[in-house]
Amino acid sequence: MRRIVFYVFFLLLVFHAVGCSVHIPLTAEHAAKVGPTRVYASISQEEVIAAASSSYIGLVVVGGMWGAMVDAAVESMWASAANKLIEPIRNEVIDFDFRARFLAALEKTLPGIATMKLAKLESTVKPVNDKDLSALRKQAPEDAFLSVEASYELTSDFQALWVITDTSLWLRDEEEAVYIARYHYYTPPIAPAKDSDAAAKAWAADRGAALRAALSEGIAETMKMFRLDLLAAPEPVDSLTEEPEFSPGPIPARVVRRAAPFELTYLAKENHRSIVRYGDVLYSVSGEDVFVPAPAASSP
Amino acid sequence: MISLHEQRSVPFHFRRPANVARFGVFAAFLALFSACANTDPMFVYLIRDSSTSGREEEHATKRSCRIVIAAVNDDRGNRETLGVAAGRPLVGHSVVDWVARGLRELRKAGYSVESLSQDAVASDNDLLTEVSVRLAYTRTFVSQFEAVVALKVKFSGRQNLTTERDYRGSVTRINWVNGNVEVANVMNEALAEALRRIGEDIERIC
Repeated sequence: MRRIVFYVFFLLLVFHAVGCSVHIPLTAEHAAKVGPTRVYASISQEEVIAAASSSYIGLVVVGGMWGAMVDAAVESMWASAANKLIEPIRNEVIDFDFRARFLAALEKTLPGIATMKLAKLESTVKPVNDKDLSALRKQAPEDAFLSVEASYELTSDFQALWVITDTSLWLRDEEEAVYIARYHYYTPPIAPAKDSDAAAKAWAADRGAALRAALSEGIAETMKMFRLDLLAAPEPVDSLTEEPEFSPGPIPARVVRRAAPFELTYLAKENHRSIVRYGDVLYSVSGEDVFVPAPAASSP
Repeated sequence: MISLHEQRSVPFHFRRPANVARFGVFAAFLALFSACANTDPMFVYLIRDSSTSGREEEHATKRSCRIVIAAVNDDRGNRETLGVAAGRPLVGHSVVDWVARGLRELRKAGYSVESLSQDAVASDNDLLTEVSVRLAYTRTFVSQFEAVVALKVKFSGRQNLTTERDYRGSVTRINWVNGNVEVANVMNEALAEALRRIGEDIERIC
Protein backbone atom coordinates (compact mmCIF):
# COMPACT_ATOMS: atom_id res chain seq x y z
CA MET A 1 0.00 0.00 0.00
CA ARG A 2 2.75 2.40 1.03
CA ARG A 3 4.60 1.64 -2.16
CA ILE A 4 1.53 2.44 -4.26
CA VAL A 5 0.95 5.69 -2.35
CA PHE A 6 4.60 6.56 -2.80
CA TYR A 7 4.46 5.98 -6.57
CA VAL A 8 1.22 7.93 -6.92
CA PHE A 9 2.72 10.88 -5.07
CA PHE A 10 5.94 10.57 -7.03
CA LEU A 11 3.93 10.79 -10.24
CA LEU A 12 2.02 13.78 -8.89
CA LEU A 13 5.34 15.41 -8.05
CA VAL A 14 6.62 14.76 -11.57
CA PHE A 15 3.41 16.15 -13.12
CA HIS A 16 3.67 19.16 -10.82
CA ALA A 17 7.29 19.74 -11.84
CA VAL A 18 6.61 19.28 -15.53
CA GLY A 19 3.33 21.19 -15.33
CA CYS A 20 1.35 21.78 -18.47
CA SER A 21 4.32 23.26 -20.25
CA VAL A 22 3.66 22.83 -23.95
CA HIS A 23 5.04 25.00 -26.70
CA ILE A 24 3.07 25.58 -29.86
CA PRO A 25 4.90 28.06 -32.08
CA LEU A 26 2.95 30.59 -34.09
CA THR A 27 3.01 29.45 -37.70
CA ALA A 28 3.11 31.87 -40.62
CA GLU A 29 -0.30 30.64 -41.68
CA HIS A 30 -1.85 31.43 -38.30
CA ALA A 31 0.10 34.67 -37.91
CA ALA A 32 -1.46 35.92 -41.14
CA LYS A 33 -4.93 35.38 -39.65
CA VAL A 34 -4.29 37.31 -36.42
CA GLY A 35 -6.13 40.59 -36.62
CA PRO A 36 -7.54 42.77 -33.84
CA THR A 37 -6.69 40.97 -30.61
CA ARG A 38 -8.29 41.03 -27.17
CA VAL A 39 -5.67 40.52 -24.47
CA TYR A 40 -6.70 39.17 -21.08
CA ALA A 41 -4.04 39.26 -18.37
CA SER A 42 -4.34 37.57 -14.99
CA ILE A 43 -2.03 38.32 -12.07
CA SER A 44 -3.59 37.01 -8.87
CA GLN A 45 -0.45 37.27 -6.75
CA GLU A 46 -0.31 40.12 -4.22
CA GLU A 47 3.31 40.04 -3.12
CA VAL A 48 6.57 38.25 -3.68
CA ILE A 49 6.54 34.70 -2.30
CA ALA A 50 9.15 32.03 -1.67
CA ALA A 51 8.82 28.74 -3.53
CA ALA A 52 7.40 26.12 -1.20
CA SER A 53 8.64 22.57 -0.97
CA SER A 54 6.28 19.67 -0.41
CA SER A 55 7.16 17.11 2.23
CA TYR A 56 6.78 13.41 1.43
CA ILE A 57 8.68 12.18 4.48
CA GLY A 58 5.57 11.25 6.45
CA LEU A 59 3.87 9.59 3.54
CA VAL A 60 6.85 7.41 2.70
CA VAL A 61 7.91 6.59 6.27
CA VAL A 62 4.56 6.48 8.08
CA GLY A 63 1.98 6.27 5.30
CA GLY A 64 -1.76 6.97 5.28
CA MET A 65 -3.44 9.80 7.13
CA TRP A 66 -0.81 9.93 9.85
CA GLY A 67 1.85 10.35 7.19
CA ALA A 68 -0.13 13.15 5.59
CA MET A 69 -0.40 14.85 8.98
CA VAL A 70 3.33 14.51 9.57
CA ASP A 71 3.94 16.10 6.14
CA ALA A 72 1.52 18.94 6.90
CA ALA A 73 3.37 19.57 10.16
CA VAL A 74 6.76 19.54 8.39
CA GLU A 75 5.46 21.93 5.71
CA SER A 76 4.02 24.15 8.43
CA MET A 77 7.46 24.38 10.04
CA TRP A 78 9.11 25.24 6.70
CA ALA A 79 6.40 27.79 5.91
CA SER A 80 6.85 29.45 9.24
CA ALA A 81 10.63 29.69 8.75
CA ALA A 82 10.22 31.06 5.20
CA ASN A 83 7.68 33.57 6.46
CA LYS A 84 10.19 35.02 8.91
CA LEU A 85 12.69 35.50 6.09
CA ILE A 86 10.31 36.97 3.53
CA GLU A 87 8.55 39.46 5.80
CA PRO A 88 11.41 42.02 5.91
CA ILE A 89 11.77 41.76 2.11
CA ARG A 90 8.04 42.38 1.59
CA ASN A 91 8.12 45.36 3.95
CA GLU A 92 10.84 46.98 1.85
CA VAL A 93 9.04 46.58 -1.49
CA ILE A 94 5.43 47.08 -0.40
CA ASP A 95 5.14 50.09 -2.73
CA PHE A 96 6.38 48.10 -5.75
CA ASP A 97 3.20 47.19 -7.63
CA PHE A 98 4.28 44.30 -9.84
CA ARG A 99 0.79 43.89 -11.26
CA ALA A 100 0.50 47.53 -12.37
CA ARG A 101 4.02 47.59 -13.80
CA PHE A 102 3.57 44.35 -15.70
CA LEU A 103 0.26 45.50 -17.22
CA ALA A 104 1.73 48.89 -18.13
CA ALA A 105 4.67 47.16 -19.84
CA LEU A 106 2.29 44.82 -21.67
CA GLU A 107 0.19 47.74 -22.86
CA LYS A 108 3.30 49.41 -24.19
CA THR A 109 4.81 46.27 -25.76
CA LEU A 110 1.91 44.62 -27.53
CA PRO A 111 1.13 47.43 -30.01
CA GLY A 112 4.73 47.09 -31.22
CA ILE A 113 4.28 43.45 -32.19
CA ALA A 114 3.52 43.40 -35.88
CA THR A 115 1.80 40.01 -35.77
CA MET A 116 -1.16 41.34 -33.82
CA LYS A 117 -3.21 44.47 -33.45
CA LEU A 118 -4.04 45.19 -29.83
CA ALA A 119 -7.75 45.96 -29.67
CA LYS A 120 -8.29 45.84 -25.91
CA LEU A 121 -6.28 44.90 -22.84
CA GLU A 122 -8.29 43.59 -19.93
CA SER A 123 -6.92 42.36 -16.63
CA THR A 124 -8.06 40.49 -13.58
CA VAL A 125 -6.76 39.81 -10.09
CA LYS A 126 -8.54 36.45 -10.09
CA PRO A 127 -7.01 33.20 -11.31
CA VAL A 128 -8.39 32.19 -14.69
CA ASN A 129 -9.12 28.57 -15.56
CA ASP A 130 -9.77 26.92 -18.93
CA LYS A 131 -13.54 27.23 -18.51
CA ASP A 132 -13.30 30.99 -17.85
CA LEU A 133 -10.96 31.43 -20.81
CA SER A 134 -13.28 29.53 -23.11
CA ALA A 135 -16.23 31.75 -22.10
CA LEU A 136 -14.17 34.93 -22.35
CA ARG A 137 -12.87 34.22 -25.83
CA LYS A 138 -16.33 33.31 -27.08
CA GLN A 139 -17.67 36.62 -25.75
CA ALA A 140 -14.84 38.69 -27.23
CA PRO A 141 -15.80 40.29 -30.55
CA GLU A 142 -12.21 40.39 -31.85
CA ASP A 143 -10.62 37.89 -34.27
CA ALA A 144 -7.98 36.78 -31.80
CA PHE A 145 -7.73 36.32 -28.03
CA LEU A 146 -4.43 36.33 -26.13
CA SER A 147 -4.35 35.17 -22.53
CA VAL A 148 -1.43 36.09 -20.29
CA GLU A 149 -0.81 34.83 -16.77
CA ALA A 150 2.19 35.98 -14.75
CA SER A 151 3.66 35.04 -11.38
CA TYR A 152 6.94 35.68 -9.56
CA GLU A 153 8.73 34.06 -6.65
CA LEU A 154 12.02 33.67 -4.90
CA THR A 155 13.54 30.21 -4.92
CA SER A 156 13.09 28.24 -1.69
CA ASP A 157 16.71 29.03 -0.71
CA PHE A 158 16.04 32.75 -1.37
CA GLN A 159 18.94 32.93 -3.84
CA ALA A 160 17.20 33.70 -7.13
CA LEU A 161 14.03 35.31 -8.45
CA TRP A 162 11.81 33.78 -11.11
CA VAL A 163 9.21 35.56 -13.21
CA ILE A 164 7.04 33.03 -15.02
CA THR A 165 4.55 33.93 -17.73
CA ASP A 166 2.16 31.62 -19.53
CA THR A 167 0.54 32.82 -22.70
CA SER A 168 -1.85 31.37 -25.29
CA LEU A 169 -3.36 32.75 -28.47
CA TRP A 170 -6.65 31.65 -30.00
CA LEU A 171 -8.16 32.53 -33.35
CA ARG A 172 -11.91 32.91 -33.67
CA ASP A 173 -12.45 29.90 -35.92
CA GLU A 174 -9.97 27.60 -34.19
CA GLU A 175 -11.05 25.46 -31.23
CA GLU A 176 -7.47 24.88 -30.02
CA ALA A 177 -4.89 27.54 -29.21
CA VAL A 178 -2.66 28.35 -32.20
CA TYR A 179 0.17 29.56 -29.95
CA ILE A 180 1.14 28.39 -26.45
CA ALA A 181 4.31 29.52 -24.71
CA ARG A 182 5.92 29.78 -21.31
CA TYR A 183 8.53 32.43 -20.55
CA HIS A 184 10.91 32.11 -17.61
CA TYR A 185 13.12 34.88 -16.29
CA TYR A 186 15.74 33.95 -13.68
CA THR A 187 18.33 35.96 -11.81
CA PRO A 188 21.73 34.59 -10.89
CA PRO A 189 22.06 33.86 -7.14
CA ILE A 190 22.19 37.00 -4.99
CA ALA A 191 24.50 35.58 -2.34
CA PRO A 192 26.11 32.41 -3.69
CA ALA A 193 27.74 30.13 -1.13
CA LYS A 194 25.83 31.85 1.64
CA ASP A 195 22.73 30.68 3.49
CA SER A 196 19.13 31.74 2.93
CA ASP A 197 19.34 34.26 5.80
CA ALA A 198 22.12 36.16 4.02
CA ALA A 199 20.31 35.91 0.69
CA ALA A 200 17.07 37.27 2.19
CA LYS A 201 18.99 40.17 3.75
CA ALA A 202 20.63 40.94 0.41
CA TRP A 203 17.22 41.15 -1.34
CA ALA A 204 15.87 43.44 1.40
CA ALA A 205 18.91 45.73 1.66
CA ASP A 206 18.70 49.37 0.61
CA ARG A 207 14.89 49.46 0.50
CA GLY A 208 14.78 46.24 -1.48
CA ALA A 209 16.91 47.69 -4.29
CA ALA A 210 17.96 44.28 -5.61
CA LEU A 211 14.45 42.89 -5.68
CA ARG A 212 13.06 46.04 -7.31
CA ALA A 213 15.77 45.79 -9.96
CA ALA A 214 15.18 42.06 -10.52
CA LEU A 215 11.41 42.49 -10.82
CA SER A 216 11.83 45.39 -13.23
CA GLU A 217 14.33 43.42 -15.29
CA GLY A 218 12.04 40.38 -15.15
CA ILE A 219 9.18 42.40 -16.60
CA ALA A 220 11.42 43.94 -19.28
CA GLU A 221 12.84 40.54 -20.26
CA THR A 222 9.36 39.01 -20.39
CA MET A 223 8.28 41.77 -22.78
CA LYS A 224 11.37 41.07 -24.87
CA MET A 225 10.36 37.40 -24.98
CA PHE A 226 6.86 38.40 -26.15
CA ARG A 227 8.39 40.46 -28.94
CA LEU A 228 10.74 37.68 -30.03
CA ASP A 229 8.39 34.74 -29.76
CA LEU A 230 5.20 36.22 -31.15
CA LEU A 231 6.72 36.42 -34.58
CA ALA A 232 5.62 34.00 -37.25
CA ALA A 233 9.11 32.51 -37.35
CA PRO A 234 11.46 33.68 -34.57
CA GLU A 235 14.94 33.97 -36.02
CA PRO A 236 17.63 32.10 -34.09
CA VAL A 237 20.94 33.83 -33.51
CA ASP A 238 23.29 31.19 -34.93
CA SER A 239 26.48 32.80 -33.74
CA LEU A 240 25.46 32.24 -30.12
CA THR A 241 24.94 28.51 -30.32
CA GLU A 242 28.62 27.62 -30.08
CA GLU A 243 29.59 28.79 -26.62
CA PRO A 244 26.79 28.99 -24.15
CA GLU A 245 27.87 30.97 -21.10
CA PHE A 246 25.84 30.29 -18.03
CA SER A 247 26.76 30.45 -14.42
CA PRO A 248 26.22 27.24 -12.48
CA GLY A 249 23.92 29.14 -10.11
CA PRO A 250 20.17 28.88 -10.53
CA ILE A 251 18.76 25.51 -11.50
CA PRO A 252 17.49 26.49 -14.98
CA ALA A 253 20.85 27.94 -15.94
CA ARG A 254 22.40 24.63 -14.98
CA VAL A 255 19.79 22.77 -17.01
CA VAL A 256 20.42 24.96 -20.03
CA ARG A 257 24.16 24.54 -19.55
CA ARG A 258 23.85 20.76 -19.64
CA ALA A 259 21.76 20.82 -22.81
CA ALA A 260 23.30 19.75 -26.08
CA PRO A 261 23.85 22.68 -28.48
CA PHE A 262 21.24 21.37 -30.91
CA GLU A 263 18.63 21.47 -28.12
CA LEU A 264 19.08 25.22 -27.63
CA THR A 265 17.79 27.99 -29.84
CA TYR A 266 19.23 31.39 -29.04
CA LEU A 267 16.92 34.26 -29.87
CA ALA A 268 18.83 37.16 -28.35
CA LYS A 269 21.86 38.11 -26.32
CA GLU A 270 22.56 41.39 -24.61
CA ASN A 271 25.43 41.90 -22.18
CA HIS A 272 25.40 38.82 -19.93
CA ARG A 273 21.79 37.86 -20.53
CA SER A 274 20.51 35.52 -23.24
CA ILE A 275 17.07 34.54 -24.38
CA VAL A 276 17.16 30.89 -25.27
CA ARG A 277 14.57 28.25 -26.04
CA TYR A 278 15.16 24.91 -24.39
CA GLY A 279 12.40 22.33 -24.57
CA ASP A 280 9.02 23.97 -24.28
CA VAL A 281 10.21 27.03 -22.38
CA LEU A 282 11.77 30.30 -23.47
CA TYR A 283 14.35 31.27 -20.86
CA SER A 284 15.96 34.59 -20.07
CA VAL A 285 19.07 33.59 -18.16
CA SER A 286 22.19 35.40 -17.09
CA GLY A 287 25.80 34.36 -17.49
CA GLU A 288 26.84 36.20 -14.33
CA ASP A 289 27.76 34.37 -11.14
CA VAL A 290 26.11 36.86 -8.80
CA PHE A 291 23.07 39.03 -9.28
CA VAL A 292 24.13 42.65 -9.38
CA PRO A 293 21.24 45.09 -9.75
CA ALA A 294 21.56 47.60 -12.56
CA PRO A 295 21.69 51.08 -10.96
CA ALA A 296 18.94 52.54 -13.16
CA ALA A 297 16.58 49.65 -12.57
CA SER A 298 16.94 49.65 -8.80
CA SER A 299 15.21 52.96 -8.22
CA PRO A 300 11.75 52.62 -6.62
CA MET B 1 -2.45 -21.13 2.19
CA ILE B 2 -5.24 -18.67 1.49
CA SER B 3 -6.80 -18.80 -1.98
CA LEU B 4 -7.43 -15.77 -4.14
CA HIS B 5 -11.15 -16.27 -3.72
CA GLU B 6 -10.77 -16.29 0.06
CA GLN B 7 -8.61 -13.19 -0.06
CA ARG B 8 -11.29 -11.34 -2.00
CA SER B 9 -13.99 -12.41 0.38
CA VAL B 10 -12.29 -10.78 3.41
CA PRO B 11 -14.85 -8.13 4.42
CA PHE B 12 -13.87 -4.45 4.56
CA HIS B 13 -13.74 -3.43 8.18
CA PHE B 14 -13.00 0.00 9.53
CA ARG B 15 -11.18 -1.38 12.56
CA ARG B 16 -8.33 -2.57 10.34
CA PRO B 17 -5.56 0.09 10.34
CA ALA B 18 -4.79 -0.62 6.68
CA ASN B 19 -8.39 0.09 5.70
CA VAL B 20 -8.42 3.29 7.73
CA ALA B 21 -5.19 4.34 5.97
CA ARG B 22 -6.69 3.50 2.56
CA PHE B 23 -9.82 5.45 3.33
CA GLY B 24 -7.76 8.37 4.61
CA VAL B 25 -5.67 8.52 1.45
CA PHE B 26 -8.82 8.22 -0.70
CA ALA B 27 -10.53 11.02 1.26
CA ALA B 28 -7.43 13.21 0.98
CA PHE B 29 -7.31 12.69 -2.80
CA LEU B 30 -11.02 13.35 -3.09
CA ALA B 31 -10.73 16.55 -1.08
CA LEU B 32 -7.67 17.62 -3.08
CA PHE B 33 -9.26 17.09 -6.46
CA SER B 34 -12.68 18.43 -5.52
CA ALA B 35 -10.94 21.57 -4.22
CA CYS B 36 -9.01 21.82 -7.50
CA ALA B 37 -12.13 21.39 -9.58
CA ASN B 38 -14.16 24.04 -7.81
CA THR B 39 -13.04 27.46 -8.94
CA ASP B 40 -16.09 29.46 -7.88
CA PRO B 41 -15.41 32.46 -5.66
CA MET B 42 -15.48 31.69 -1.94
CA PHE B 43 -17.20 34.21 0.30
CA VAL B 44 -15.33 34.96 3.48
CA TYR B 45 -17.19 36.42 6.47
CA LEU B 46 -14.42 38.42 8.08
CA ILE B 47 -16.50 39.95 10.83
CA ARG B 48 -17.66 37.68 13.57
CA ASP B 49 -19.84 38.64 16.50
CA SER B 50 -17.61 40.55 18.84
CA SER B 51 -16.58 38.45 21.79
CA THR B 52 -15.37 41.49 23.72
CA SER B 53 -16.93 41.20 27.10
CA GLY B 54 -17.26 43.95 29.61
CA ARG B 55 -15.49 41.71 32.08
CA GLU B 56 -12.28 41.66 30.04
CA GLU B 57 -12.31 45.45 29.79
CA GLU B 58 -12.92 45.73 33.52
CA HIS B 59 -9.86 43.58 34.26
CA ALA B 60 -7.61 45.53 31.87
CA THR B 61 -5.52 48.32 33.34
CA LYS B 62 -7.17 51.65 32.61
CA ARG B 63 -4.92 53.90 30.51
CA SER B 64 -4.99 57.66 30.35
CA CYS B 65 -4.56 57.69 26.58
CA ARG B 66 -7.70 57.86 24.46
CA ILE B 67 -7.41 56.50 20.95
CA VAL B 68 -9.56 58.33 18.44
CA ILE B 69 -9.96 56.53 15.11
CA ALA B 70 -9.99 59.39 12.63
CA ALA B 71 -10.33 57.19 9.55
CA VAL B 72 -9.86 53.71 8.18
CA ASN B 73 -9.29 53.81 4.44
CA ASP B 74 -9.23 50.92 2.00
CA ASP B 75 -6.10 51.66 -0.05
CA ARG B 76 -5.52 48.14 -1.34
CA GLY B 77 -4.33 47.84 -4.91
CA ASN B 78 -6.68 44.90 -5.29
CA ARG B 79 -10.06 45.58 -3.70
CA GLU B 80 -11.75 42.85 -5.72
CA THR B 81 -10.50 39.81 -3.81
CA LEU B 82 -9.05 38.76 -0.48
CA GLY B 83 -6.60 36.45 -2.22
CA VAL B 84 -6.89 32.99 -3.67
CA ALA B 85 -7.36 29.64 -1.92
CA ALA B 86 -6.71 26.50 -3.98
CA GLY B 87 -7.65 28.29 -7.21
CA ARG B 88 -10.76 29.90 -5.74
CA PRO B 89 -10.82 33.70 -5.52
CA LEU B 90 -11.74 34.84 -2.01
CA VAL B 91 -14.32 37.55 -1.84
CA GLY B 92 -15.70 39.43 1.11
CA HIS B 93 -16.91 42.84 2.02
CA SER B 94 -16.39 45.48 4.67
CA VAL B 95 -12.61 45.25 5.02
CA VAL B 96 -12.77 48.76 6.50
CA ASP B 97 -15.33 47.71 9.13
CA TRP B 98 -13.32 44.61 9.88
CA VAL B 99 -10.14 46.61 10.57
CA ALA B 100 -12.08 49.29 12.51
CA ARG B 101 -13.60 46.60 14.71
CA GLY B 102 -10.16 45.13 15.19
CA LEU B 103 -8.84 48.51 16.36
CA ARG B 104 -11.60 48.68 18.93
CA GLU B 105 -10.18 45.48 20.40
CA LEU B 106 -7.45 47.73 21.84
CA ARG B 107 -10.03 48.39 24.57
CA LYS B 108 -8.97 45.04 25.96
CA ALA B 109 -5.59 46.62 26.71
CA GLY B 110 -7.30 49.31 28.76
CA TYR B 111 -7.49 52.08 26.19
CA SER B 112 -10.57 54.09 25.51
CA VAL B 113 -11.17 53.75 21.77
CA GLU B 114 -13.58 56.07 19.99
CA SER B 115 -14.38 56.84 16.40
CA LEU B 116 -14.04 60.48 15.41
CA SER B 117 -17.57 61.66 15.03
CA GLN B 118 -19.57 64.78 15.68
CA ASP B 119 -20.06 63.69 19.28
CA ALA B 120 -16.41 62.79 19.97
CA VAL B 121 -14.19 65.83 19.75
CA ALA B 122 -10.48 65.09 19.95
CA SER B 123 -8.56 66.76 22.75
CA ASP B 124 -4.82 67.43 22.98
CA ASN B 125 -4.29 64.25 24.94
CA ASP B 126 -6.02 62.06 22.43
CA LEU B 127 -4.08 59.94 19.99
CA LEU B 128 -5.61 60.49 16.57
CA THR B 129 -5.20 57.35 14.49
CA GLU B 130 -5.65 57.23 10.73
CA VAL B 131 -5.35 53.77 9.21
CA SER B 132 -4.71 52.85 5.60
CA VAL B 133 -5.33 49.19 4.68
CA ARG B 134 -2.65 48.34 2.12
CA LEU B 135 -2.98 44.58 1.88
CA ALA B 136 -5.40 41.96 3.17
CA TYR B 137 -5.14 38.59 1.53
CA THR B 138 -4.86 34.85 2.00
CA ARG B 139 -3.13 32.40 -0.29
CA THR B 140 -2.63 28.66 -0.21
CA PHE B 141 0.55 26.74 -0.91
CA VAL B 142 1.34 23.07 -0.35
CA SER B 143 -0.78 22.15 2.70
CA GLN B 144 -0.77 25.66 4.14
CA PHE B 145 -2.67 28.93 4.30
CA GLU B 146 -0.85 32.22 4.53
CA ALA B 147 -2.76 35.33 5.54
CA VAL B 148 -1.28 38.81 5.38
CA VAL B 149 -2.63 42.14 6.61
CA ALA B 150 -0.53 45.25 6.00
CA LEU B 151 -1.58 48.59 7.50
CA LYS B 152 -0.09 52.06 7.38
CA VAL B 153 -0.99 54.04 10.47
CA LYS B 154 -0.65 57.77 11.00
CA PHE B 155 -0.62 58.82 14.65
CA SER B 156 -1.11 62.47 15.50
CA GLY B 157 -2.51 64.81 18.10
CA ARG B 158 -1.01 63.78 21.39
CA GLN B 159 1.62 66.36 22.42
CA ASN B 160 1.87 67.53 18.81
CA LEU B 161 3.15 64.16 17.71
CA THR B 162 2.84 63.13 14.07
CA THR B 163 4.29 59.86 12.92
CA GLU B 164 3.49 57.32 10.22
CA ARG B 165 4.37 53.64 10.53
CA ASP B 166 3.84 50.40 8.63
CA TYR B 167 2.51 47.31 10.37
CA ARG B 168 2.18 43.80 9.08
CA GLY B 169 0.54 40.69 10.42
CA SER B 170 1.46 37.47 8.67
CA VAL B 171 0.33 34.02 9.72
CA THR B 172 0.71 30.52 8.26
CA ARG B 173 -1.61 27.70 9.26
CA ILE B 174 -2.38 24.20 7.98
CA ASN B 175 -5.16 24.17 5.40
CA TRP B 176 -7.40 21.36 6.64
CA VAL B 177 -10.49 21.62 4.44
CA ASN B 178 -9.98 24.87 2.48
CA GLY B 179 -13.11 26.29 4.06
CA ASN B 180 -14.21 29.90 4.37
CA VAL B 181 -14.27 29.69 8.18
CA GLU B 182 -10.62 28.63 8.12
CA VAL B 183 -9.78 31.55 5.83
CA ALA B 184 -11.64 33.99 8.09
CA ASN B 185 -9.82 32.60 11.13
CA VAL B 186 -6.37 32.87 9.59
CA MET B 187 -7.11 36.41 8.37
CA ASN B 188 -8.33 37.38 11.82
CA GLU B 189 -5.10 36.01 13.27
CA ALA B 190 -3.08 38.09 10.79
CA LEU B 191 -5.07 41.21 11.71
CA ALA B 192 -4.58 40.45 15.40
CA GLU B 193 -0.83 40.17 14.80
CA ALA B 194 -0.73 43.57 13.06
CA LEU B 195 -2.86 45.09 15.86
CA ARG B 196 -0.56 43.61 18.50
CA ARG B 197 2.33 45.50 16.90
CA ILE B 198 0.24 48.69 16.72
CA GLY B 199 -0.63 48.21 20.40
CA GLU B 200 3.07 47.96 21.30
CA ASP B 201 3.75 51.29 19.60
CA ILE B 202 0.72 52.95 21.17
CA GLU B 203 1.98 51.85 24.56
CA ARG B 204 5.30 53.57 23.83
CA ILE B 205 3.61 56.73 22.53
CA CYS B 206 1.13 56.98 25.42
